[in-house]
Amino acid sequence: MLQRKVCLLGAQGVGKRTIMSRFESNSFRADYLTTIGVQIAKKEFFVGKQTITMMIWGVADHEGFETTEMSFARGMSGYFLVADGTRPPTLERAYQIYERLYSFEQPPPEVPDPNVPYIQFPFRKIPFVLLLNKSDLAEQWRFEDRFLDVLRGRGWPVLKSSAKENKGVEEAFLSLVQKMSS
Amino acid sequence: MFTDYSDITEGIAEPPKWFDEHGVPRYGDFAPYRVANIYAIEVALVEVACQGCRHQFHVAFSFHTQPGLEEMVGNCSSLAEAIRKGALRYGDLPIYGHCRDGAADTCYEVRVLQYWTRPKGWGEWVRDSQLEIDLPDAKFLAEEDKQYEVLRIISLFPDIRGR
Repeated sequence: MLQRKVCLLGAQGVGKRTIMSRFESNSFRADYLTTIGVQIAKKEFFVGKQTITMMIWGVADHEGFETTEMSFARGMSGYFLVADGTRPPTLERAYQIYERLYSFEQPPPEVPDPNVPYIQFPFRKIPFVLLLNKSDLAEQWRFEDRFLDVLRGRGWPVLKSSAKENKGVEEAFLSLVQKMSS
Repeated sequence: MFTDYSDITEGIAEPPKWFDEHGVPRYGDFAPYRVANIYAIEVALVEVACQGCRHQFHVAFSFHTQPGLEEMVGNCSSLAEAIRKGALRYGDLPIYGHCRDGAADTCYEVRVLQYWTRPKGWGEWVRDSQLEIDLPDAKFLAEEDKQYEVLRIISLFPDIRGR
């Protein structure tokens, strides 16, 4: 059995916790508690004849998404950039996180400093999905399909989901698993 | 299209504070008795915007029972009715500070900033703030602004197929 680490990254309030809760109990949590640090869930997927256990890390977004948060991403095999389809700035935040991951590669330190997390893993080739959540809020939804098609045309794997209505979440994870397996 | 009053505007350093019903620049504070139409029984100061560049102007509307400026209120029988129905039409923009295309375009009527009436048909002006409201174009512009925000963010995303 394969085990893979997957991170949910994105601005505060985009629905990372509710996406995770879909997998833990298949129930939607209406109450909201900002993630402190990181939250971990486990989910098994069957791809072909293989069982893949995904360790899903919901990483809290803090101002700057600096080294501490980045260290949570170490060792991941795939990730979701989660944005809220009703709040355009969260998509901009997802883009900032992507660029930070893309640019973040450190050479090994000559003298390890225990106070500075060391991140060696190259992020730039890790498969990801850009997930626009809260598709149930149709009247407030700001991203018309033509805008998403522009992103897809530039190579961005964009999917829509509603964690509240449990739509698109499973499909998004399967899509990522397939990218990770290929 | 209005007359170009650059002979006035270019001789004065500060921008006009508002424009009268004929696109004439005015430099004092707006007051209902300062509009061009001396017979007016209703007056409004309205924020309008250029269709091309969104440059904003404050322009005057006036209404009286004699023929003259009917186009401003469409088929309505008063300025108040035209405000309630969202039927105010200033027409083309005053010629000042907007983009090249603006002068020949009708403007967006955004919101009523001041509304004044003479209840007796003459004499003292009375302000009615209940008619100082957003006009239908305000909602349209707000929606467009949201689209602009989305487009701005979308434009940040590079083509990553070669990465």
